[in-house]
Amino acid sequence: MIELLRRMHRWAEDRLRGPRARLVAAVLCVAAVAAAAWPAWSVAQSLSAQRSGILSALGRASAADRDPSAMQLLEARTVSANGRTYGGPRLISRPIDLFDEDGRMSPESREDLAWRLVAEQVPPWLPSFLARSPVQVAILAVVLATVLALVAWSGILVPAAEIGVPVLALAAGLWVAGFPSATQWTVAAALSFLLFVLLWRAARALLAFRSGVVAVASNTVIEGIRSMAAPGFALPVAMLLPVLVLSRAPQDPLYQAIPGFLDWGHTAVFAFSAVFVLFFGCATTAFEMRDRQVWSVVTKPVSPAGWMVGKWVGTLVLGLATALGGMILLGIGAHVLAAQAPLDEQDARDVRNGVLVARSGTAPSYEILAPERLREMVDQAIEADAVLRADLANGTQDEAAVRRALATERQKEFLDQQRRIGPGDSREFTFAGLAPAVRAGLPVALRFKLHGGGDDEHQRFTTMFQFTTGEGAGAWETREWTPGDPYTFRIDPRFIGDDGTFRVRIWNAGFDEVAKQPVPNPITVFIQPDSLEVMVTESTFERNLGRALLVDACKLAFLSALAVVAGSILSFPIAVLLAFGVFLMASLAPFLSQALEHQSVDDKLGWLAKGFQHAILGVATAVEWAFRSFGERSPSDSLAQGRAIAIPALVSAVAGIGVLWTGAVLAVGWVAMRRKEVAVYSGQG
Amino acid sequence: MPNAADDAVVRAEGLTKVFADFWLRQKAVAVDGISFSIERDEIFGLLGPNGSGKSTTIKMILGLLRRTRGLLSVFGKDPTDVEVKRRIGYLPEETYMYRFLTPQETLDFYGRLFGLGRDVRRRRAGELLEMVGLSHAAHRPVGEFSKGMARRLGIAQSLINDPDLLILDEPTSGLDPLGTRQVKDLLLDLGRRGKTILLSSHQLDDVQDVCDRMVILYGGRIRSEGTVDQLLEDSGRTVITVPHLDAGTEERVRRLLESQAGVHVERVASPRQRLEDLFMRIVEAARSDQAQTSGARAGGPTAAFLRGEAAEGDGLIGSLVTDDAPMAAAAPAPVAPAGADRSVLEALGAASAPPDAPAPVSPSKPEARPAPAARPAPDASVDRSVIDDLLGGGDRP
Repeated sequence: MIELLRRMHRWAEDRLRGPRARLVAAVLCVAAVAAAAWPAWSVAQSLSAQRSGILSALGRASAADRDPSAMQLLEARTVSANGRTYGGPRLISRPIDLFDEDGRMSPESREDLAWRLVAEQVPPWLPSFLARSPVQVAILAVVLATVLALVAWSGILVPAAEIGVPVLALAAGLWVAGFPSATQWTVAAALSFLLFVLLWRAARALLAFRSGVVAVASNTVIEGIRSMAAPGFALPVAMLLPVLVLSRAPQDPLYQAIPGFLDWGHTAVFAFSAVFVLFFGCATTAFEMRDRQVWSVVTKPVSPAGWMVGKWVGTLVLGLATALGGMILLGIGAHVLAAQAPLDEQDARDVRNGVLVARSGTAPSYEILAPERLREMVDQAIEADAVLRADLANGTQDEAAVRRALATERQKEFLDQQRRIGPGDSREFTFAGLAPAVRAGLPVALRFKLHGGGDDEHQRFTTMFQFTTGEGAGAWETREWTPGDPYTFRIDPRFIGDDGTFRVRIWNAGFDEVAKQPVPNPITVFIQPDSLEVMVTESTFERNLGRALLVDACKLAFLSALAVVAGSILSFPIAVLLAFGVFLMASLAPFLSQALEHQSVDDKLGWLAKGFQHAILGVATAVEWAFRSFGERSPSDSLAQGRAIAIPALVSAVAGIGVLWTGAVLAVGWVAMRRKEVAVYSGQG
Repeated sequence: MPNAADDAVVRAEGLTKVFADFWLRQKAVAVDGISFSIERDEIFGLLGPNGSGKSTTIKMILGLLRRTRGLLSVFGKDPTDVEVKRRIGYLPEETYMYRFLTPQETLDFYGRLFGLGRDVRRRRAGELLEMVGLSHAAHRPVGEFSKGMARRLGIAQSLINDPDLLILDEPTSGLDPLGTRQVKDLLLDLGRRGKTILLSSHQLDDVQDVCDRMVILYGGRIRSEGTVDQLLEDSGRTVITVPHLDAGTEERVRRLLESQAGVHVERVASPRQRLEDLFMRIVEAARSDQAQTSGARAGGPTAAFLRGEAAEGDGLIGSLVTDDAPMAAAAPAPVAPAGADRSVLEALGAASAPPDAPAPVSPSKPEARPAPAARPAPDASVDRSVIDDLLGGGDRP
């Protein structure tokens, strides 16, 4: 059986090998889609024409004027249009409900009635959303025809059919068995994987030049596909993202579901892409060195260093294809979620203002202690501590260091006080520099994330926001919140002063509408440094997704260079160890940075232990310093929070990670490969 | 660096390669001060047992290893010069192909490395696959190939760029006698068309049949160097081949030589055809009966781009390497009719060549080269003492 299938596969591949055969196959696919779409389009077009006639007839309907259309509707419960009569008691049970107080029909009522009158003509094989609009049928047909034509032209029609037919059969079976979600997931996962296949084909087409380095890159892409390495990493992405979309429970607010999907989804996409380039980059070079295929290449007019660069390009292209496919699926998934019914009007508003946007944030300005006051407080602290005074007097502690530490501590405490609101209290926050955004008419929103009460996610509190600037000074806004969760609401530009200053007083209390008085919350509210900001929409979600992809591309370029260079010089296990070790250090650098803030050398230990601690701290500090920028630049948080990836940060990522780091690693590899003897000693002794 | 205008394609002077360990201590002297040159249009043989330095020498010529001392130039340039490699074709001892590529894709890939255009690559790949008998498997993954099929593909890839210098390390390894003969014929054909070939092989018969000059290495040093005739000719003996003699005539010839020439006849025996010739005849007969085979198929003619423009003598060479006769037409061992012409024998003293005695046909070399010795039918007539001494009296090939 397997041999038969294999023969059939070869027969089909041989038939579809030439460009002429592929062109014919592409044309046939387009024709098939057109033939399948034609009946649907005909039905939708007919229904659309009938609805237009009905709308035209109902447009004049007025019960107050005793219009013939209205009277027919009220008395006979029918509508006549273009020589045809629609309706009846079964379809129109209470015609009086269709008219408003003035005896007229609203546009929404007319639309709804017109659809109901023709809906029973929709054949069972045609989905309702297609029957409503022939334009949608046409768009879907064009998209499907284009995809199939691409599949046929790129020579993957046979494998696509071999996978697609069983998948469709499985989906049909699941549908019949009554598992609609599983059906949707099956089809979505298959289409997602097809996207990756098309991207790989596009990558091969892009690398079709006859240059030696590009030829090596193209060969590497082919290796990644046929060795099943690239499909092995793309398939989990194709399966996981639809699951994340479909797993949203109806009671989950969209405002949380969409950021959660973006956060988890992007993390998964980058993780799979990064692990793939690390693993495959090491493997393709190390094994080719070990198995000596590299001899057949470097004895041609391609230097060992050129071979290494070609391997890097090929690995990076495959990694970028995985990342790009994942980003496309992320965008589609986010829009699919956004198209679902929101939980309530608040949820709908929060989605409009807070997700699928790209905003930049402005933090409030806080007061800081003046130098004289700070010095005074430090003096007081030293004066109050007899032990500290004694240590300073006898030189046990360094006075400058002690004063610096005390000053930092006092300043931090002063700032923290400004971010703390006691029960029933209020505090005013000032945001400056918003004039350009107001002039440009950009949407402005206030984002807040409050902490308190142990950050118990089961608790819910109410807070009042009082606007104290601009024409709308004095207006109030009330919001419910859960500790630790972010929220956003639009700010009317009227609340922003002419000088671009916005002030808001936050009350740690709700408001009792019945008693008409504030109700203090039983907790003290804390605001973290990054938890309160005014957000200005400066770009679109899709553009932000593109920026995120660019940041990821720079990281993937560095990681693939690291893997390829390591694999070219070292054996596979050592190369993997090195490459993954650097990747983990770079990814964990932000956590390391936080940990180092609380680390210090224990002076009470002996010299050996202290020396050891100094060495560890030194290494950790060096690692943190070297890789800080890699871990900090994570687009996941930005996408989830609807925060725009700023252009300066983007340029920094490209110049730093994409050019400098990657270039440095490739330069090391270049030098090493120029000095390395590709062949080994194969004699006796 | 030797003079770039030198006609030698490869020139080595005092070439030495010392391998060191991680601590830079000397581990092995693989090549020890060898000097040789490979002239243009010549088929040069590199012989020696395992560990003699053949592969190391080839790797240095290809730039895979750097020399420790001495001078080495290829086409007048350093071997590591990337541009030099445009003119070189290389077949390694083991065929290191990409298992996930098909033969068509493999040749296309290597063609791209040489900067060949798409149409040129396609045409040459088709011709080469036809030549090595792999057209039917052009779209099968190389990972499914037998060793022989992979070897043929390796030969094809070494020719994709129509190289001026062809370096072959054990080219007939893994090939059956059919394939071996075809490779030898191909090498002679290429040599005749102006290709310079460096051949390293353990198959001494193969080297003997095709090479113009050879060096014999042992312990990283050259032990012997010269043309095939210079190395193998035993001027101390004379072989005369005649049709079959009956016992009486044989005895008279013996007595005549002893009495007239004072020569003691050491051995009289019937010549033996070579096993290769017998094998070829059997296969040809089977092929003409159209017997089926599931293995590698017969190759086609030399690829057109390798043949270049048609030259005089194409007909003869072409007939030796066409589909119908993939091997050189190996004439059967000479069988004299009963009753030899005694006038020939009586004229022995006048040392006249027997005009009608058919010489065993062997792959002939171009007239420009010194004609090789007539292929020896009995092995005993060849003085193999040089080779045997070096190999410690090793087995005969």
